[in-house]
Amino acid sequence: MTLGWKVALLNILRNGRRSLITLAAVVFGCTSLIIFGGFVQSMYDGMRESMIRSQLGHIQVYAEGFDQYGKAEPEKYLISSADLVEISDVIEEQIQALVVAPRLNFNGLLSDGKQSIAITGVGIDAEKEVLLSSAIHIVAGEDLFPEDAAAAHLGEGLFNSLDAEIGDYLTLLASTQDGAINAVDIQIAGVISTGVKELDDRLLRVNLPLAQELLYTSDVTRLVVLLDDTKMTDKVVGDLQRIFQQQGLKLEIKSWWDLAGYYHQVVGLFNGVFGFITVIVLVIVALSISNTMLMAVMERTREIGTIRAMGGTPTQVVGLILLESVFLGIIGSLLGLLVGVLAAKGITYAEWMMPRPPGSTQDYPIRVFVVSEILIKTFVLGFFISLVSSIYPAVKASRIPVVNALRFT
Amino acid sequence: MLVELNNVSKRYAMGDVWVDALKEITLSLDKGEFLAVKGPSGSGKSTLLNILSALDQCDSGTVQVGGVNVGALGEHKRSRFRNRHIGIVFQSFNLIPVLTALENVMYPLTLRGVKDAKPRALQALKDVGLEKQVNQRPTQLSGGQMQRVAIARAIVTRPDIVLADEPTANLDSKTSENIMALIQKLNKEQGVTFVISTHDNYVTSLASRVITILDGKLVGDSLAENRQANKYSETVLDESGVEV
Repeated sequence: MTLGWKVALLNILRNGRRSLITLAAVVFGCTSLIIFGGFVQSMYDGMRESMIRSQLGHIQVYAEGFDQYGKAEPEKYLISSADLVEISDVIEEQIQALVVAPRLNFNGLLSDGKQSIAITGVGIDAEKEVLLSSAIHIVAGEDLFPEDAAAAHLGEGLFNSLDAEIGDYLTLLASTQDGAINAVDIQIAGVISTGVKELDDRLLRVNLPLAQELLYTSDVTRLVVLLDDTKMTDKVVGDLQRIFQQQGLKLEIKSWWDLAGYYHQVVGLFNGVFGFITVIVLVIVALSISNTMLMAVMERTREIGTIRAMGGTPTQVVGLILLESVFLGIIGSLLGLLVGVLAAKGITYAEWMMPRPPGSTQDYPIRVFVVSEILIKTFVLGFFISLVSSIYPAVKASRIPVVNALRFT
Repeated sequence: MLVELNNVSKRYAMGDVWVDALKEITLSLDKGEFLAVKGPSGSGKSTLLNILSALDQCDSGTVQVGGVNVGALGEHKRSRFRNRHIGIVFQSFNLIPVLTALENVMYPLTLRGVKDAKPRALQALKDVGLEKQVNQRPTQLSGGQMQRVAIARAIVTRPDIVLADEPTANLDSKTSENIMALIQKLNKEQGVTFVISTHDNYVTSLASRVITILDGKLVGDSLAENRQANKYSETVLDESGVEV
């Protein structure tokens, strides 16, 4: 260890209490960033998986043109029953999918005899949806089974707005592909919650054959694919595009990333908030370190004068102060990482509940992920802010005239 | 000549008032001299030493140390110059408290990256009689020992000149005598050039040359006076008192 390093390190111990306060500020800053970053990451993760496992799946496959024209004329951009089997086989053979499930989407009116409410309906393969829609909670009633031809699941908000009980029959009306009005009777098998209030106020899920009977079609709107791991999505999308092209299948593929507009909005918002909080924390830490170093420089003015008198250059004095600050930053950041990781684990273990966010229908437990990327970023920031915040004290120390510094008492 | 000061003046602002700390000082110093600078407090002794040691710059005149015009050097080069050519001993020792005696002596060498700093520092400590205290911190040393460490630190770089501003002012008389004996020994045995500012007559009695500063002016120089006296003693007069 060179003398400069030793002096810098030992100087930290000279005023232990002040160094401890500074270290506490760095530790507080690092811990805050780790906890908040880990919490936000867990929120992103939870929201992403919830959307994938309640609505979107990892990948959706449509007939060609659906993306551009499907909203205006959905009946013209359906996957035919003949193609459906072939496409399902191709997907199941070529990629490692957990589930490949068809869905038929429709809009209609649900009537309890007293009132009619607009709904967003989905015809599903009930068996496959058990896994595909695992994030949908059954609030009341029971699962949807394929053999219950008329059974339906109603969103919680939709159910509450009707004068109905579990087991009651309701009338479902919708337009067929030809534009005629068709109606079927459905029986309320259960009440479900997706976690998204807006959707729960309109959602109706029925078995696919009933939906096809209602719309007078044997086609489906989309095939929804669930993978083992969300990280595989991009690769599988690429593989499917290549396979579909090779086999001459005219289809469109969308990943959850393309479909999750709400997710991207929330991530954008929280990234902004996180950035803002990071800046505030860094300013607090920087001021604390800068203050400590200014006081240290003032107290050791005479010593700095002695080093200059012995032939130390202004640059060497700057280096000495920066080194001291960097040591404080490194020690503080390492302690901060340790405390932050322990705090993150502790908070997750405690399972404190957070109030439901706007638009959501469920409370959720606080989970704080320990993310290696955040840990590295926090350490680098701790180191960097320590260095930057001591530049002013260091330069100030180097500019004190030697004679004045030696006279300082 | 090792040191040459030519018409050196320095002014300080004390509030709204300007004080002439040095007024047109002209002085030269040879290698190996032991110069004592005496004068009352505020006479300009410390200012003279600060300028000689390149810690401060004069307002007018020139200062040459070892042929180098110190006033023409920038801040960085003056630091390097001090490190290589000047040794400084302070009244209150100014040791770095977190370092041992050995490390304090090594410090000026490490500032310029000298590889054999440790053996040189050990030798310097041996020269001042502190070979047994090398690993002690300043707080574990007496005043006299601290000043010996400071002297070792000043001579370890083998400077052209060592400047000491009242080095015995904070020491008792016995310790002062020991320190001055050490300085005298280093001057005589190793040929180290010393310039010491002092109030102490004992210190001036040991110096090979004494200059007196009063109100910033050089008012006495034992060397010049000796020369003058020698000149008179060598003059032969006749019986009526007329120079022959």
